[in-house]
Amino acid sequence: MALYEADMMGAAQREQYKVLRREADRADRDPAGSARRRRIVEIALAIAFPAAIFAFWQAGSVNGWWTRVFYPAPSDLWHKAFERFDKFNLWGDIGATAYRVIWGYFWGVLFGLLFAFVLGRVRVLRKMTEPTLNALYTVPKITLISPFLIIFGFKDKPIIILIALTVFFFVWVPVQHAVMTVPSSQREAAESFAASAWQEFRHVTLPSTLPQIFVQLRVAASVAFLAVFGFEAVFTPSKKGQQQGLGFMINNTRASLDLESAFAGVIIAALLGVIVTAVIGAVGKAVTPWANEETGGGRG
Amino acid sequence: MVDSNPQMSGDAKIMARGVERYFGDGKAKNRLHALGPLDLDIGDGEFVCLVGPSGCGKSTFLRMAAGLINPSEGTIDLRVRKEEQATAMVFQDYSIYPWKRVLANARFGLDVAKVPKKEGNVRAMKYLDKLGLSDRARAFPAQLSGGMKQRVAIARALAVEPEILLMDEPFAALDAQMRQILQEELLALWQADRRTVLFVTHSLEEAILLGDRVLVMSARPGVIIASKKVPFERPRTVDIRTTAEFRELEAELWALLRQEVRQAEGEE
Repeated sequence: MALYEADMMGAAQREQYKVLRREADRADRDPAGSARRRRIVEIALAIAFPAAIFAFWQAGSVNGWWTRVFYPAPSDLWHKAFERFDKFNLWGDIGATAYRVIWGYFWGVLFGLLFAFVLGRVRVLRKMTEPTLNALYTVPKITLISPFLIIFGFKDKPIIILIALTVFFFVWVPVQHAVMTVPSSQREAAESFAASAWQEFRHVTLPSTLPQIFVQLRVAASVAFLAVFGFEAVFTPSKKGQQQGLGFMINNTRASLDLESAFAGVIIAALLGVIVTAVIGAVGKAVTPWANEETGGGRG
Repeated sequence: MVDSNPQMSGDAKIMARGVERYFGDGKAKNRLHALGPLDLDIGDGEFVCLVGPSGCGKSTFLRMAAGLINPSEGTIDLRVRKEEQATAMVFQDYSIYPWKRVLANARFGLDVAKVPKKEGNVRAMKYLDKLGLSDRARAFPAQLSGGMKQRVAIARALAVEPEILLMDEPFAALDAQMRQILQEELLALWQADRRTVLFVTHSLEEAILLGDRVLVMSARPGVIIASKKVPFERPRTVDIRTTAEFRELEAELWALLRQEVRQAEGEE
């Protein structure tokens, strides 16, 4: 009985206090292994996720969960893409689109950065141009396609200018913001050493904004693709009597009810997007080793 | 060496055994032995100050006690009445939220614990009041000075009435005068309710003024090289700073710390 009571008291005391234990879990005991396992899982998931989508899509089309004519199986698209590569010079379409997108992107980024750095630092120029640029910002660039075609001729040039104009705003607005929010202590440190405007740009403004610039370069790249496909759907210049471009090709499938080609075009667009994003990401990582992963650069 | 408080050994509030922590990206060559092995007992209601050179792992130990990271080896046992919000932490850089008003910031821990808002307001207000902030309850942190921001962070930690209060160089970002004011306030607050405090600081003066015990840590990997009971009676006031005894203890601890700081610097 006494023993029982003592037990009860012990239990009561144990109940009053709990022990919260901090100790190593599996990841803490084997950081190398857990980092390796995590990388493997991440890569596997990055592959498995699209693979699962395609598998589901294939299964559904083949088994008749939905109408195969409207939702062709990935295998159908695969065949179609190869067929097009053979018969219709798909490389020509890819090349034509790439030419427009690359030049449009290049000029858009160049002017976007130029405006951002100059307007971000020179208040009077900023105040002078901001309302005008803001007005242009909200104009859907696709509405400019007709006047630009008339002015610049029915060639690649107006398309490239329109892509550049679209890209320009996606670079200019956020990068200017980044330029304006460079910590004043960093600027003052440079000024205290009597750095010239160019030296301040090279040693402070540019590196300070570089991580944000690379985030924006990625956004602008996807916008450039969006733009080129849209513009090509509206107008595609012809060379030697032949119109070429992925946007044109996709848009054209409507007339021939060629769904497979349309989807094949979409998948090629997606692949181009993956490649471009990877390239920009890799460059960003290489040139901003001090930045962390979240801001787009860094070695993670 | 198990450093135990004489009255408290056996049922310490915080009991660390063989605690070690490594950092790195998993590659053996990048493995950094930050801390340990460390054995430590902290009694219920004891105010313990941890001093040591930069990078000795004192903040790491605090973060492990808070459960933010785990030890790589060994265990830290916290003997608590309730497991939820048993610890609360005050950080060096305030880490209060700019988008919340002072009252909402102070109530944050209670909101997380799903305390009804009305009761939460009363409890948060009580601590804001104690820290002289009740008239700034509607302000946003951006409108406050650094000292006031840190008072909000302290009120936020105290509002959940944690059994263990963890403070990571809470006054390091303040100017010297504001630091003294907040030291005084913390001394008065703690003497009123005596909860267990683990306080990390660079300042020996601060450690002696506030602590029941000062633990001196070595350069990385940090181990405890000295444990000094502070001989001043409670309740104390800041006036003890001027006594010869205080200065002697400070000099004694500095003699220990000095070579560790030099060694830590050499490794940088």
